[in-house]
Amino acid sequence: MQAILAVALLTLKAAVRFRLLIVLGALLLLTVVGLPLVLKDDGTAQGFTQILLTYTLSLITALLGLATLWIACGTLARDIEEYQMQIVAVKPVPRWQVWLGKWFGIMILNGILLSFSGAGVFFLMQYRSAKLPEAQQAILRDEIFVARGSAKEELQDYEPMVDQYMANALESNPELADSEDRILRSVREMLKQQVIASRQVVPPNPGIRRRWQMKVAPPDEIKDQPLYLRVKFFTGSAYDTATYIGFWEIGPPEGAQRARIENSISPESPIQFEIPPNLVDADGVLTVDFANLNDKPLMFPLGEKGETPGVEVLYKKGSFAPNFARGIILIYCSLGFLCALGLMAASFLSFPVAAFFSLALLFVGFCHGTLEQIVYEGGITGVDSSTGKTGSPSLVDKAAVGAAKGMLLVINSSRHFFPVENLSDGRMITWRQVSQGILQSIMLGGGIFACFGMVIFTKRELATAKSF
Amino acid sequence: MNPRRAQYFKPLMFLMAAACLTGGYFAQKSLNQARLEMGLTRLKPLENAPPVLAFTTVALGGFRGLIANTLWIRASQLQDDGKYFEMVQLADWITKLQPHFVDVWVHQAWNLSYNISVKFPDHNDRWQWVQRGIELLRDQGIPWNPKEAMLYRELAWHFQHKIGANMDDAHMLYKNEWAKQMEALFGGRAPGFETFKHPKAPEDKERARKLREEYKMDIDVIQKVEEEYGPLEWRLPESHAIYWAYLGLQESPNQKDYINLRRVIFQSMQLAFHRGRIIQFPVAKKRENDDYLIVYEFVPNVDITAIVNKVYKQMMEEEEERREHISTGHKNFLRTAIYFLYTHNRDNEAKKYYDEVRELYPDSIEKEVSLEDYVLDRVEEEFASTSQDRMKAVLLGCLMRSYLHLAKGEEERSLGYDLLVRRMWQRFHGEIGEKQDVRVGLPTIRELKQESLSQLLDADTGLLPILADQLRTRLGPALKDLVPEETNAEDNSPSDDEAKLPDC
Repeated sequence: MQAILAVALLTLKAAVRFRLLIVLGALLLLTVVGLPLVLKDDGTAQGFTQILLTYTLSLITALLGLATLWIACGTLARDIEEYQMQIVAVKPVPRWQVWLGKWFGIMILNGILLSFSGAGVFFLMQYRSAKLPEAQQAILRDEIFVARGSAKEELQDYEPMVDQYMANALESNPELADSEDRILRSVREMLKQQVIASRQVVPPNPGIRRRWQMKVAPPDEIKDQPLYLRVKFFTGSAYDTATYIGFWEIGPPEGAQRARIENSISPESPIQFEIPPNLVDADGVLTVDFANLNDKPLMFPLGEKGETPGVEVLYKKGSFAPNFARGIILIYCSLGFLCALGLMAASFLSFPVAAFFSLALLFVGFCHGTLEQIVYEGGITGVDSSTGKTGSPSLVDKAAVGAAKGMLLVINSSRHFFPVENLSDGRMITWRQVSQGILQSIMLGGGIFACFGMVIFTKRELATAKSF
Repeated sequence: MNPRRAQYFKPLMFLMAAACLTGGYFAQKSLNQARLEMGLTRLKPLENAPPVLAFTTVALGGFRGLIANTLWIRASQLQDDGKYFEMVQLADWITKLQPHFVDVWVHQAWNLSYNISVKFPDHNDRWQWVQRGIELLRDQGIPWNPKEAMLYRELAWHFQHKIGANMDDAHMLYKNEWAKQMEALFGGRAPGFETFKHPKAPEDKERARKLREEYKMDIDVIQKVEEEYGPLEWRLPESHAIYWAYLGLQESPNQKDYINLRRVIFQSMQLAFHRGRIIQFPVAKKRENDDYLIVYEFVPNVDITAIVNKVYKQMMEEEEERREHISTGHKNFLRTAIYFLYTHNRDNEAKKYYDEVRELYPDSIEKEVSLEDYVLDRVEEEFASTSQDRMKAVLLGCLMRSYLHLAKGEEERSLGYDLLVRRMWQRFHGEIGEKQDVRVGLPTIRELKQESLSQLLDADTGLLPILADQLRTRLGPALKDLVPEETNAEDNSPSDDEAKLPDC
């Protein structure tokens, strides 16, 4: 451990000696202080706070991320190129400890810089919000400077119902049973879509109510706290810019004090509005009824496969400061991943090539959509337009799918833990997410690179460094 | 390098860099000229641009497109997720990256004003987004592309349609908020041209600066528009639509775009005729289920009837292929004008247009139908109309006529008009149904009476003093109830209430 710490300290000293700390510190200070002066917002305090939070944290992450890759590549590759590593290598210190020491050194540097810049952003937000009128401050407290949980309708298993419909169809039409499997599958899929549609679509009939029941939190925990309904729906028209009447009844169905809200809502992207507090029942369940008073049917998605559900409740679950701290920890985890990537590349490549290689890998990470598409289509050579998948995959296709899956495993280990969107939406970042972030970004994603890098670095012949 | 040379190396490099930059600065003009002459670029080089714009357009070179694409993708994704707080910033960057691409400005402004605004249930939030859309075109798009008619047309359309029409259920708030801004700027219906041209008092100087720098309007152009199309009510959005379309006609070199701009003027004039006058209505109360306070009321501007008539005729001459379509509109306009003028107690003018419509469109009014019969038939027609502006105009006109008859001692006729107003009001609300009541609902009869009385009893523009006094006397306590600030009523009103209108 002493050896690791010694190498870490040397790495830190080198960063200070090369004025990296000063340059990065100045850039981060400029980000925190200068960015708010040039940003354009929507004119509301809420919008300004959200954009400030998003852009400052994103820029800090980007700056530190790029600096981390750069330092990680430089510190190891240049030590080898300039023959300094040979002096360390002859000492009784295993090379994997040197590698790990470098990783710790960079992460200590990142820790210092991220703590200061994170604290800067946090206090800047608090300072600016304290100067706003009380009404604006209340909005920020309720919607941004808060950690809100989200409750959705539980997804139902429609399969038994579809089975029943299928059985009825076969009974009423015996000839269908003799059809090919392909046709039977198609009929079943059609029936399933009909079942799902019956839950999604609210017909234009004031007498019909669509009901959502969502488990929020025990009434005592959210007593007098504002709740927010997040609604997303579609109409039959694409790019519909019209507004529709939303008629909502919220609260226990048998309760005397159900809240009635009539508002103007628009389709295709989520809208959010406040509902009165204390409307959950004794079990913490919120019941929301919707009547369609318009002349078109409205479709509320069920929220399957990660899609935004038609109706979602947001409620206060914690305070902003710990949530912000958890968000910063998640950013720190991502930096750990990048540091391992840079050091891994520098373990066997010269400095410029290692920097290029790790940046290229990072770029591939941004193309996760393409990788997911390769996996979904089952290849890269050609897609059957009727199925949307590669008809008969060749060896090239199979290899491409394997490579894409491998890359996605590593990329997804850190991609899902970028906390800025949650923070700017005032959404809760749970300790469970933080643990997952540490586990996946550092232990799994970073761990793969670390193992690979340490093994190569241990096996590498340092005296022939220039030949690489 | 020996130490002596090294000592001078860096300063020398610095001087060379400075010399190159200076040389580049002077060479830029001739290079730009050469680009134009050789046809190397489709667009004019950007001149006098702010540093950020100069950097993005010049320094980024061919990478501009890539960055712009990335920003477009991000904007679309955020919009799909319902996250709008970045939209103003993203629109700003995208337009800075593609400042001469007119469609970019049009799309981004439309997106802010039309697509994003309606995502907010709160009407005040919507107004913020509509303003951002207008600002994007007015403050950036047009200054950087001053010859592009499309941008003037789009800005004018924002005023005419987004604020002026009633397609958005927050339209009354937009109109009120815009009227408030213009009231603060102009201090009334129209600007005092001398005050804005040669301001002396500090507050006048500030207003002139605001007009020029914030609203980007030229007082000389306003005066020309007023002379050509006025008298206009500058607190209303359609006057601003006319202004921007008029400016576009002056600035744009491309005549093929003129027709779109003329159409904006033509359509805005129609709007101005139907409800182009504002009555400040201090007694209006916050109504149940309404989330805004009605501060202004919009009534027909019959003063511009002759100009609207002229614009219609101009349009028929200019658009030969649409002549038949426009002539139908012209016929309807003339029929409405007769009706409005008659109900506004301008019988002579009503008769003039009655004669004109019979001459130009003989089939539109049967020969044996007199002016008065025609107007009453139109009342019947209006019963089926669900146009709030037209119905309100008719009701106000009928109420004024009712009060005028009352002032003249014709109680029966007065009461007849009053009853007619009630029947029309009830029928209108029955026609539109409860669902649309918030969007296109009329003020209550009481509010309409208050408005028409305020107009009639106005010392400057209302009835002759003798008629006004007679009206006060005949209304008696009902006047005090309807218009409390009418202190004269107390002095003149007798105790009898035989002429008192039925309680509403």
